[in-house]
Amino acid sequence: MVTTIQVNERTLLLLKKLKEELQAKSYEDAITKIANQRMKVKESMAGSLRKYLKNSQEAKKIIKEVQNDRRKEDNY
Amino acid sequence: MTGEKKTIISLLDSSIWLSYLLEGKHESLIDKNEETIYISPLVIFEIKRRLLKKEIPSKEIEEKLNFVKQKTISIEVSDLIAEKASEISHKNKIPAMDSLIYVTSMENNSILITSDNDFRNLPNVKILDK
Repeated sequence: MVTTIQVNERTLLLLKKLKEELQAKSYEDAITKIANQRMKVKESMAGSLRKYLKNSQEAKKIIKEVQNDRRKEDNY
Repeated sequence: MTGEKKTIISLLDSSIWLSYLLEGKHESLIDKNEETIYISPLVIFEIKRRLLKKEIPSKEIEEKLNFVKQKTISIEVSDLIAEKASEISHKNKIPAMDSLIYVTSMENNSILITSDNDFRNLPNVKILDK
């Protein structure tokens, strides 16, 4: 799906400058590159809640419970 | 074009996020992924409710959810998604939550990545080991 966004002239100039700096192929490419850079979180949170588990099997149990909840909550 | 990197947009299911936070799995999908990751508000609901049930301190829950939100683009459940999900739920006999998340992914041309076997046999789904 393609859509149109409105920006004022100042924003357009900024975007043109960034497009050149980023060597982007298009405005869409420039915006995607900026957004990806912005969203690139420095740190990882992988396993950061492991300390709350009683044992290594508990994570699997929790995930299984989420899946079971979906089935239980739907009596269709 | 040959040699061009293929963009794979994904929507990660609750099972993947919980496995990442609790077990440290799926780092390549989250930490090393430079492509767009979508999320459904329903996934945020399930992650938070499960962490609340586990009695994880609220500050820690907030920190993890902020991370998840920062890494993703949230896709609202629209009327169209709701209607299509009801059709898929009825046809494939899959739960409401599953079908809403699945259609959210489908309507945004992404691959749903999950470890839930309820999604087997559906197109554009990648099921990973638990």
